[in-house]
Amino acid sequence: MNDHQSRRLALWNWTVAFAAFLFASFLGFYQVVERSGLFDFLESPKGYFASVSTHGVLMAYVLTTFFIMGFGYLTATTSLKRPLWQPGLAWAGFFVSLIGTVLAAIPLLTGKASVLYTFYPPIQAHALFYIGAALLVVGSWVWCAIMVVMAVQWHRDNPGRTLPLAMYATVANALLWLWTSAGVALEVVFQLIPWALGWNDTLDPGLARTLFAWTLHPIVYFWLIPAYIALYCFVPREAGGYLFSEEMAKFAFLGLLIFSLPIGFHHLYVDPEQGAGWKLWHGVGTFLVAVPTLVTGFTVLASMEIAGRLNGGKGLFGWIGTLPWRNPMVLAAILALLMLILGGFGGIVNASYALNTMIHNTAWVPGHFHLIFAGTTVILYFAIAYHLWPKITGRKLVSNTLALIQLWTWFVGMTLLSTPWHVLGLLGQPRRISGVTYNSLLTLAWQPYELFMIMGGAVLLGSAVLFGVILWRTWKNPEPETDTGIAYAEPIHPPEGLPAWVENIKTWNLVILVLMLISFGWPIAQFFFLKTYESLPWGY
Amino acid sequence: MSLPEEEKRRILESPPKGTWALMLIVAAGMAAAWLFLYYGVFIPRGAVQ
Repeated sequence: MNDHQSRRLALWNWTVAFAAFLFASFLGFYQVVERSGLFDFLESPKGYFASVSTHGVLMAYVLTTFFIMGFGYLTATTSLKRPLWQPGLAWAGFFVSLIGTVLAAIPLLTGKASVLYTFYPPIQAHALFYIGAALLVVGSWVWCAIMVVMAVQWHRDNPGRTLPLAMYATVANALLWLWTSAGVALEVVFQLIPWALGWNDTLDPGLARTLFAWTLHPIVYFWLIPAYIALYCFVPREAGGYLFSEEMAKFAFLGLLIFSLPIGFHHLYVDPEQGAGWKLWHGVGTFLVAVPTLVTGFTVLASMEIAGRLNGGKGLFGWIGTLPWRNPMVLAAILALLMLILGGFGGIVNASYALNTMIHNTAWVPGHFHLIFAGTTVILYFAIAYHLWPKITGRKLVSNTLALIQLWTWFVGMTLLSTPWHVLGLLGQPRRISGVTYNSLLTLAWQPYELFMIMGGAVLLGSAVLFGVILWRTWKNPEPETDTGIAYAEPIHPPEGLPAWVENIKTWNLVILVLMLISFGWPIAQFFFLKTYESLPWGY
Repeated sequence: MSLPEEEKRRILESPPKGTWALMLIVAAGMAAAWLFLYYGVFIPRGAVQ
């Protein structure tokens, strides 16, 4: 089948994604050194906040969006076994996102958009930053549309058949992103851009925070779903076995799509603009969304257990030793699951109202999201790249051993970085600080942890550079890759007896619409009915 | 290593006991860690002064 276009799209989307990642990795190392307060000559709040804003935008929005788009084009064409729908449109989406990225980078790099990667007024960025970010999202909506259309067309041409799992998850992610990004899009278009352009001199930050909370949590699952696709669709096969249950996998993806959306208020637990009842409702949903992740952990581990036993493993845990640890996909899955356990625990603490008050706005929070995102998610992005980069470039992976070293060093570096970060949060260190220049018994107690974090940052930077070197040398490798087909794990039993609504995109959207109206309807509408004391909701 | 078809079938149909054991260990560890943070760290700090 001719899927040349999807491979070229994947190649160039990933080139942008990984270039952004590499640049952001250098910034990350600078930040961990600067904020330690141990090096006076580096102290620069202005430089730090410009750097951390660029680092956050590049890692959280640019790496992820371009990676996910490229991966989606590959999964759509290879799992559905049909050519890409409207490749010209896909390229247009790519360039719109790229132009948006460049536009946003200008104020970021010149210190005019040092607003972190959260869109919280009253800190204000140059209008170009918001316009660029909006274009990045608009370009990604083109990808969403293509994924949805391809799934609908496939259903039309294959009545009664169920979507291949990889595409099922991809289209769920596309819908998730459309729903997720709507919140921040409303905030940016109706509040932030008019405000940054000087058309309005005021806005309601409570409403802005509510709209961003709509986006802020499900976006994590938008980043995470490609990693889960690798866990379900590549890992069992690479480990030498089968997927334990495709039905459970589909329920997990559907659960992530539906239940990750109406839960963002756990980010606003200490905010005054939303009532306790709404926070409780979103808090319950936050615990509920842990279920699909638990299902994923179980199904993937069970798939690996089967593979380990087929490889000769005996006893309760003997199968772990017979897994192919030298396979980058399998190794990354094991390391990702380990980090998911620790990061997942941090998430449960964040979701617990009382404990949240203890760690809210402390260093614990960036420690947590680095472990989940830069740990679990990104290490599987690496593994997907090692698996598919040779297939899309047509060049053999330059060194399996180097890939394994890179994955191990990433794991070690992330552990060294994020563990003391959590501890610093418990010791009371605030997040979003550019340095610790004052001396007291409290801040002196932070220093050993800062040193460990610097070591972790150094290991991570080395690992990131190694990743770039491996991909670059693979691209230029004269030895061709002979196996350019993309194969997915087979389930032990073909999926049977799934209710029709599990495959029905309209039903998914209807359920989400109802849940979103319940969860965000009044919390947003209230801003138009309550007196806001000189803060006008939209600024008009 | 090539397993006899019967052995392969047995493995595929067997319940994943090791996975259940790991999940229980992880769940117990998480519950213990949460309880430690709540009763061992949060509660002893007391009310905001």
